[in-house]
Amino acid sequence: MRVKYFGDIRPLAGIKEEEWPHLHPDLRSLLNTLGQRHAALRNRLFEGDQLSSTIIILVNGRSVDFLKGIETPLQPDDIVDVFPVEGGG
Amino acid sequence: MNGWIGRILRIDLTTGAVTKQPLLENDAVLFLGARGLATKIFTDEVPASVDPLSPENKLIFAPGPFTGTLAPSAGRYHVVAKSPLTNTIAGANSGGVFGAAVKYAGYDAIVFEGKAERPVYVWIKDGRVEIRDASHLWGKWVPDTTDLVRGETDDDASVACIGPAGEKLVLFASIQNEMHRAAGRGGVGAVMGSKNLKAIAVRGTGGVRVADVKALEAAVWAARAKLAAHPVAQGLNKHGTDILVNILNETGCLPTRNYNDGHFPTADKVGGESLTKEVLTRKKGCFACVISCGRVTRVKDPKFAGEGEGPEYEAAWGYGPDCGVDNLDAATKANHLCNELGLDSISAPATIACAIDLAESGVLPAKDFDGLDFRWGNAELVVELTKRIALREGIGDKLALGSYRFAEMYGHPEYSMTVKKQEIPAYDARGIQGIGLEYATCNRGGCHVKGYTIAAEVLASDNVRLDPREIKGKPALAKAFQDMTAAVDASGGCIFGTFGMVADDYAAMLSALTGVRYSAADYVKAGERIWNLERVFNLKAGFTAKDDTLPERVLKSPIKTGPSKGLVSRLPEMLPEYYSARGWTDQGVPSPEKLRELQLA
Repeated sequence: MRVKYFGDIRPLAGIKEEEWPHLHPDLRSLLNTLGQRHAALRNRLFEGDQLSSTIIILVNGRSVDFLKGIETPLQPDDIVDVFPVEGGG
Repeated sequence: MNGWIGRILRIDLTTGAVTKQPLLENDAVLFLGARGLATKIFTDEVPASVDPLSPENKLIFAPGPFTGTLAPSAGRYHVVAKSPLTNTIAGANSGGVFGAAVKYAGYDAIVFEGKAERPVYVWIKDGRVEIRDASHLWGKWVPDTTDLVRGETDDDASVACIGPAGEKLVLFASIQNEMHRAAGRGGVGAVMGSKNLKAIAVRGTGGVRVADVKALEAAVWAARAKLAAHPVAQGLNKHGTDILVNILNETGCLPTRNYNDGHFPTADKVGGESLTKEVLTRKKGCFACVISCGRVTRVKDPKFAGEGEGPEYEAAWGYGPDCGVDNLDAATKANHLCNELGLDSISAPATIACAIDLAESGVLPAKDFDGLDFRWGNAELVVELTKRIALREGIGDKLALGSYRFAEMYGHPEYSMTVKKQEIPAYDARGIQGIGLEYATCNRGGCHVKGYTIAAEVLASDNVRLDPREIKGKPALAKAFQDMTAAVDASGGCIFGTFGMVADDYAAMLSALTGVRYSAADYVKAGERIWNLERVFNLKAGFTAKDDTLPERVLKSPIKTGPSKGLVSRLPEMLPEYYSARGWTDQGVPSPEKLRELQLA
């Protein structure tokens, strides 16, 4: 699984992207582990036990808002993107 | 009047006559100002059949009621004319401080008519208006023009001008104010050039009367706090609009190589994160803005060295992935050139992308390459072509007509990624259904910003989130964004304000400012009124429902790689519901009942 970081999330993770060798059944499990690995990131990922409203997570290009949110199941070859909410035009 | 100055300035460039007229209160109340007021004046006075580059076309600059006040991120002005690129009504919007200067000089709108016999510029110092010779400025680039005009008038004057592109009637020439801010789309710079009007310098020392100061302050501080605290506003400050490159690419909806694909593997090199690290020197805001998304940039690479502002997302995409280029220095340099020469930084690179596509496909013969190496990914090429277009040199003379007319010359208009002959921007409508409906129906031709459904489809809007791949709910979404944006434009606001503020916030500020009571519904209704007035003009100009469409490639050729592989736009399924939501006939004509409801008939 590949995890990519963007915007002001990138400096919190200290890295652009990383291969994630461990299996995670769903997004919640992955984000919990990411938060442990990158302490600065932890508070940006969660609001309580829910996904933070200040981030956008894509799994294979699809916002998890339109999948199963934090319960979205993951496969070993998935690409997970972590974005801050952002705008422009 | 409160909020409005109550005066319109009219300058006949043919006769040199300058007149000042009262603003009709009913027009102000119904059409607000800026885009709305200018469209009302324009459509009342100019026949839809007018030749856009003839003296009979008019060119109207108008700030809105908020412009020049402390309303947050709301200091903008609008330029209205008939577009030489699209033949629709043109409405180009810009920030900076020019709009506020016009207001402080004492005007709700400046209407230019006719054509000067030789190049002129206009110097407005409050009530004094002079038409001055500009022969010595003709041919000058935007920065020199701005400096020279300030030197001859007032160091504190705000200057809006055209560059060589506007003088030479490039059909997508911009009008630039404060050098780097652009009323960019639709070729309003060419209309200004056709009138031999090189620049407008404005210095205003007046103010804006407020109906209820305490109520305005309360409404402004409440709205301002919401906007300033919003994560999107903060994100725009951090990385500028170019932050969008990566999210669109990861979604698989970053148009690549003239819409041949929707995914560009090295897009990150031209994204906002890279821009911040490599070329940003400081951030900059427009009048009364709490966001400051503007980027002051410097390129050190000797090949592309220079200083200026931008690129915004659209230009970084256009000069980047849309041309197969991943060189941020080149994209930044090309964007600087657009500002210096006075070109729309969306249509310019998208026209170049079309030319490269024609060359790579064997349609554009090598004998027409003008000595250049036409291929995807050639960073030097996109910079050089930008200059040749603005100066109408070599192949640039033909590219100056935009991608549609250029591709048509070679018998293949389907290579042009345009709607109503204006280049569509940086969101692939094959994977984001709502924005395709906006492109197809926008009154100024292919455009994202007048109905930015991306906010709800991709960017996690607070209020509504709709799956970008679905068509359900998109007609109503497009209409809602279009109407709200028209109201925001007309009141002098920046659409980025809507990331943190809603119609209630705008209505509260407008009511306190003007003393005219607007509910949120009244405010949005004004936007709907403006949208319909623009539509009626376009229908009179000969457009029909057949023109509300997308390039064949977007409708029929699926995205080839990336997460949105296999998708196409489903526009035909959405259009009937859109017309119905608008109260239009199935041919896209506003019904008599709708026009009466909007007080347009």
